[in-house]
Amino acid sequence: MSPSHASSTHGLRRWPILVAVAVVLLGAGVWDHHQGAPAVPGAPADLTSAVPPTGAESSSWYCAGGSGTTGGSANAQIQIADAGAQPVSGTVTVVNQLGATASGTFSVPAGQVGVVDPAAIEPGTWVAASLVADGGAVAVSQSVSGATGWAQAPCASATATSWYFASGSTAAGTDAYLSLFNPTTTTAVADLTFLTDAGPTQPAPFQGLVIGPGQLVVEDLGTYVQAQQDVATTVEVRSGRLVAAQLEVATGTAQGLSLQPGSPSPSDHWAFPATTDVSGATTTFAITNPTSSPEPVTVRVELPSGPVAPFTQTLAPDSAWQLTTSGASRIPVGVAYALQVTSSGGPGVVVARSVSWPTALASPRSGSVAGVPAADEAANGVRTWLLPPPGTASSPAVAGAAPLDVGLVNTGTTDVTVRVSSLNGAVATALAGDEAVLLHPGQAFDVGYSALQATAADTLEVSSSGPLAVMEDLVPSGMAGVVSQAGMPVLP
Amino acid sequence: MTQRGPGAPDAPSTRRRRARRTAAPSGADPFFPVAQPAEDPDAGTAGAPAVVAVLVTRDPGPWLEECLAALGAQDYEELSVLVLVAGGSEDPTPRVAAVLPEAYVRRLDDATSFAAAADEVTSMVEGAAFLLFCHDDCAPAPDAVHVLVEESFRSNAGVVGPKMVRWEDPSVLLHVGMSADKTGAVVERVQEGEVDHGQHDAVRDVFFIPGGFTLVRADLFAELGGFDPAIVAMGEDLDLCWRAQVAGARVVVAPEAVVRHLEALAGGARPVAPPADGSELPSLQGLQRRHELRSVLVCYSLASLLWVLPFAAVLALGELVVALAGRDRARARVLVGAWGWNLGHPRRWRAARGRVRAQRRVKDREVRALQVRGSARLTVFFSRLTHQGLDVAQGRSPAEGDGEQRQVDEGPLLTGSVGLAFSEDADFDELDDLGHRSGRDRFGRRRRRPILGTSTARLVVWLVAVFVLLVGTRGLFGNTLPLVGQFARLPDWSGTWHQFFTGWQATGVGTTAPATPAFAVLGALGTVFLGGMGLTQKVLVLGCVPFGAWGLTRMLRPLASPRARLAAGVAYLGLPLAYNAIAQARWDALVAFAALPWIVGRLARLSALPPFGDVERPPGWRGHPLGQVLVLGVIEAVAVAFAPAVAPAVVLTGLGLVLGSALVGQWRGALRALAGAIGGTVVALVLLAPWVVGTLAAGHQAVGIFGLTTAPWSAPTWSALVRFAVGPTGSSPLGWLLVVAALLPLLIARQSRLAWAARLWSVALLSWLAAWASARGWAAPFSPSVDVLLAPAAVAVAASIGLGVAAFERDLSGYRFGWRQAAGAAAVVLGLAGLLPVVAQAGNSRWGLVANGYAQPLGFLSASTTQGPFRVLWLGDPRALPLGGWSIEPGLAYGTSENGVPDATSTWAPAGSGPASTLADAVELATSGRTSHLGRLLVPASVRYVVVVESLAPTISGIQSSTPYPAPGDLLPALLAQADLRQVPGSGSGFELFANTAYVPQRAGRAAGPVTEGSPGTVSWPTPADTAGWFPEMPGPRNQLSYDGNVGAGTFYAAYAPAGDWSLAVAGRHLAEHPAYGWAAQYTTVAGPAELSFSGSPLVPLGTALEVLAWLVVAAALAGRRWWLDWWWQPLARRRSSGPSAAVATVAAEGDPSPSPSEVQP
Repeated sequence: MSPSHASSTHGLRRWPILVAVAVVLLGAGVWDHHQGAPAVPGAPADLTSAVPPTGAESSSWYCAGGSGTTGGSANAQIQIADAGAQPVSGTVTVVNQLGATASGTFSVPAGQVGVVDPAAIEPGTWVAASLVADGGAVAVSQSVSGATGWAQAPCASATATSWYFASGSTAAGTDAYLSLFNPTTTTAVADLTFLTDAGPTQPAPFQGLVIGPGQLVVEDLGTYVQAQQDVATTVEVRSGRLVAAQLEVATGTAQGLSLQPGSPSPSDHWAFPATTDVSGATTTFAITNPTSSPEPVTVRVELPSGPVAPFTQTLAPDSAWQLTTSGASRIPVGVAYALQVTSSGGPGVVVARSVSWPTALASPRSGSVAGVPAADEAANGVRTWLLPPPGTASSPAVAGAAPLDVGLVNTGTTDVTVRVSSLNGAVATALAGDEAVLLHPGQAFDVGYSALQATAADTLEVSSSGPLAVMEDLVPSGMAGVVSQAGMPVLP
Repeated sequence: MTQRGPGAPDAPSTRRRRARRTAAPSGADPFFPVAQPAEDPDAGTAGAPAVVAVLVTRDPGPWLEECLAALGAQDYEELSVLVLVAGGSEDPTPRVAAVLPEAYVRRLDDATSFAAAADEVTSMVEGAAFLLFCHDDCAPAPDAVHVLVEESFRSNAGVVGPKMVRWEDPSVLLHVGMSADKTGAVVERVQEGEVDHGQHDAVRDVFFIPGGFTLVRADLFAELGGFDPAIVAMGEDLDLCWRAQVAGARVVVAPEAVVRHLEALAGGARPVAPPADGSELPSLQGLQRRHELRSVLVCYSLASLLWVLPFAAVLALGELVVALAGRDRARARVLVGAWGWNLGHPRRWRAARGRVRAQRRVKDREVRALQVRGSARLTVFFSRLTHQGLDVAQGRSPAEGDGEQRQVDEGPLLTGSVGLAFSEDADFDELDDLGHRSGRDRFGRRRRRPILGTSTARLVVWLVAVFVLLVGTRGLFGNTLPLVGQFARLPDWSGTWHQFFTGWQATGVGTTAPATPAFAVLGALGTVFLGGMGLTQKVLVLGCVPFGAWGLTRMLRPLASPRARLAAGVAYLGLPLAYNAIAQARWDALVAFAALPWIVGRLARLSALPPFGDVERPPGWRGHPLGQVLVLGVIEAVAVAFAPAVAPAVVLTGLGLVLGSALVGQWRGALRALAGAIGGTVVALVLLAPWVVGTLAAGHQAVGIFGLTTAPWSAPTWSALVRFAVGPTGSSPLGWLLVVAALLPLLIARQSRLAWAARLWSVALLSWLAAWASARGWAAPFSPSVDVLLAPAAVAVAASIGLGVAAFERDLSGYRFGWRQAAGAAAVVLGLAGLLPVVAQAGNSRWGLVANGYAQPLGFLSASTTQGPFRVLWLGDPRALPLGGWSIEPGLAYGTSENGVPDATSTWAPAGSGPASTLADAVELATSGRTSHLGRLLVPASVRYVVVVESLAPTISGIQSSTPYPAPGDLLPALLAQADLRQVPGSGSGFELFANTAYVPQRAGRAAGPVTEGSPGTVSWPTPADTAGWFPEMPGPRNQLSYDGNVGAGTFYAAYAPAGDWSLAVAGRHLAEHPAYGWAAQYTTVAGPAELSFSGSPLVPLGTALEVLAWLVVAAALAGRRWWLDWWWQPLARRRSSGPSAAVATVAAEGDPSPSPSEVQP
């Protein structure tokens, strides 16, 4: 500015305001552009078997997939584990496939386990139950048993608009049933998609299935998806919300029962804390990509001695990868290993493990279990898991039902300390020693049968300082992994 | 036909001539005194190269003799004179013979132009070293030829020219050589009327020698092929010299040689000779422009032409636009004609171009060294634009039909609006000066008033603005405003007053907090409109926009001219803020938009900063600062009643004024503005006392009255805030233009305009920053409405634009020509273009406000009252909710309405939610997965429906879309997971509706026993048993604050808070009230007729009545006769003598000088 200009402003300074304007306008603009707009917070990751925490006003559970008639192939029994310090009570509403509904009540002392027989409330070829508890810290699981064996799986704590089942079979000697239970007051309309070796298929009879409020619909998948060794199923709900569960009844040499609660969404990280390949048995991990984007998948195996070379494959949209680890030379027979599946392409994949042992020894000899959605649990900040027992001492799921082992694997990236305890009344008994177990990232730990032997009817509680995947094997079964149940995460 | 002159029997070849100093027919030259004769008359130029003066004439005027005499008086011995008569009706031979008998005269009937005639010399003259081309209106000094020839040798110049002076006054310079820019536009080297003090008397290279008296080396002339015969007039000199430069010859001006030049052709004393083919010639201006372009096309190399020609075309296009805008058809025709003449007939110049290519010795780069940089015309235009104003730069031609004026127009002055500015006619400056002195120019024409200089012109602009407003608003006149945002239906007139005076509001689950005084304002206005509350609402909504613009022009009154205020007002109307407020259905933003200009104006007056210190103040107490604070407080109170965030916005404005003053170095007076802002706010709060007390009683929730924390994920970006693009209008990049235009006063303003521009920009910056922080929730829960916080920025931007115009008018001329002038012009263009987004949005007819609100898809809810009265729980972003409410978390608020969609009684929720907070607790339980029975938890509040709003209005495919405001992602899944909430089929896009299957009516009875009592202050959730067995009782409509009907024996439940203020009487006997869930009431009843009525404290009605009384007193004081107040005020004022006034005067004296009377144009 020339001197004449300076004088013409009568002592006013022009540059400070110019600097201020430039700094604020440009600085804020650059900062704002750099920061970007915050994303709309999405819904929390779906944990359909999550236990509401202590202090919850109420909690609901939905159990489907079982039968409720004498001589049924998979008669259901519901276990209600109260992990809180207060007794819990509630109502049970049972509906059968014909729409008949009846209700009952339940009451479980603090730290104890209660058992409900749905058939005693409302029998039916197929039954489903809604349980409403008047508090939190209640874990509900369902065991099914029949002539071919038994299985146990967590019930669902929430409905969802989609359900994914990574494995299934309609091959000869295997029947697969899909239970669609609508516990809400809104009619739901669902479409089913099946993914087989021939690609995805949507049979017309399985489109537009109408499930009224409180109703149960059970579909025999083999009716229209016939003789398929590997069938992955997707349930898409057009309107309303549902609970879905898949029951497999194997009647051949590898007879057994499998009860799989569906996964409400794909995930990019799944874990199986403990798997043991047995000579002569077949262990297969079904990794399904139900999304529309390719998914590069990495399967990491952690042996007690350390990791082995991972398995990798890119899954095209609507495709599945059947990884038979029992045939992989890099995994020794008879050694328990942890397995984690990660994907990086998009929404993720869904994963299940199937074990079969065709040799005619103890029954059941085959079973399937969905993986632990490690990413979803980590997203919800889960640090506690509950494992309801297979019934009570007086009402076991099947005779001799008991935990065989509890597998744990650190799914996070930092060390965690883990405590495992059994709950019986007000008493919590530490298992695996009094000291907390330290697990490095990827490291697995197994609580053996000897430690669990005395707590067969107790609820097991696993607490950790970080993300963890929890799964237990149950007996009686032909081998470890036939009857397995994932730990039920407790919401913080 | 050729003939010899009577005294010149021989051809004018190289014959030696004697000096003719004594041959002047009229004795001594009165302008150029004759030097003393040398002792040896032949000693001077003996042996000098021969020079042939080629004098071209046609119907010469009386000046011919003087010219011939001057040639005859040259002291150069070897000078011969060849007179070429280029047609015409007169034979000048006798006149030549009389003065210069030795001159050779030749008549050329075929060559009518100067160039064509002069070119004949090549076939007529042999042996001459130099050719001196002369006009017949030039009178050289006796030594002129001598000097030119000498300089030609000294400088080795091919073309040499003299210093030309005025014919009638040789002390005034005409030309000392000339230059041109790259497009051939001629640039004069001397100023108009510049007196010759020898300041240009250095020999120097010039781009060309103006025609009249040009010495050209004969061989160069022959090589160049002479003048371009296609140039009939105006431009042959430029063309010849340019080609000479290209051929490597120097063109030099030798100022020692002086020539008087009449410029008869350019001066209009003689017409241009018609072409031999009889075609019609354009005006001189047209000839000049087309020949300039021809020279460009001929003289440039192809490489240069590739970029110069587009450049010239762009300039011409711009000039054409300016000419058309200024209705200068002559100028437009000239431009079109010049380009058409050249480009339409390329053969005319292609051959000449080929010759120049063959003669080229010098690259264009070297030739351009003598050209002026940039565009000469553009520079002149902007210079005159900024120094003398747009009207001068774009002066208009006299009206056609005026014979005298037309004659002037058709003359040589190259007049016409842009023509003056764009031409080389320096008379233009004189025109301006004369115009200023006399009001008329030298031709007697009335000097034009400045653009928008008349009130009529400004009125036209205002009418245009109003027209645009009406066009943009036309869709809102006929229909009811949709239920979106804050545009809920007003209750009827009595209901509006009742809402204000009653001691209980139904908001939430009921509260005794006083209602906002906005209802009193609405009721009063509704009274004016004879109870038509719909009309009242529309007048308020739509009237805010022009009211704000009016306030802005009033605000700038002491600071800017009417034209600048008009610009500010139009700019304020051109900002998207108000229209986005309409589109977003924001009462608060509209009220802030209307009120802030008035408030800022009041703050400016309170500051007494120049020039506001000189503003005449009202007499008496109202002129005192305290009186002004009271006025400010009244304005602010009205605004705050509708938009509480105005209060922090006013304080923010005060801070901005202080900050701006500090930045600019003049902060003292600004503290008064801040004090005024605080004082006005205090006054406003006092005037709103009952409502303020009720707000403060809400404790930590009180800040929620200013606005609820919105979702950061749908917050406007910084750039959107700066552009005020917080809605559908202004999101295009054009939205930046008004803001950029507002920067102008910071660049060019001086004195008080600079100071106020700095203050206003500080206000704008603070406003934007505050809005940014609020939008992002950085100060949560203190999150004043973003739209309201932007209002001060809008005022500042628009006012800055007005100041920019004022600075353009007042300050720009004080700077040397440079970037500031360009910035000023750019700001004008940007400001105009910045209005386009709003003008374009006017086509929407509703400013983007949707036609269908939530009343349409959710209207059926009201039919559900047959099953008992109920509440609707609304959840969503605060900006999307069609009612007032309270915050649950950033981006999620809640509110309730009774028996269907809300009306305006729910628009202004009290700050404290009271027991309604249990609704928020219940929703939080659901979203955190801690309940699967949200419906049951909502039972105490009798919530029958839950509406999740995810956009400002329902989205109807193919009909309307609306601004999305997504709710937090966990909300809908949580509601869908509830076992007792049923999603209602047919929920529209943009919202989700859930029915509570566990609902209990607001007034319900059952035979069973009481429900959970709970305790006040703690949350008590109902058990499943609590929700069973209820049926509606006393379902009738509300009769003010009581309900009646029959009740049965058992338990009666009333979902109204506070429970203690309601009573139930059955058969005339009041029943004992028992708490329910800690806040509601339940009664153990017997069957019989019953009445449930409100029996709260009368304090609230009493307080509001006192409030109304206070308003009436203040209104009477401000608007009524003042004598009844002055009886006490004036003695008090006298006792205080001149204290405050003296302070004001002192500060005013410390500030910068007050503007001159012409600067302040009220």
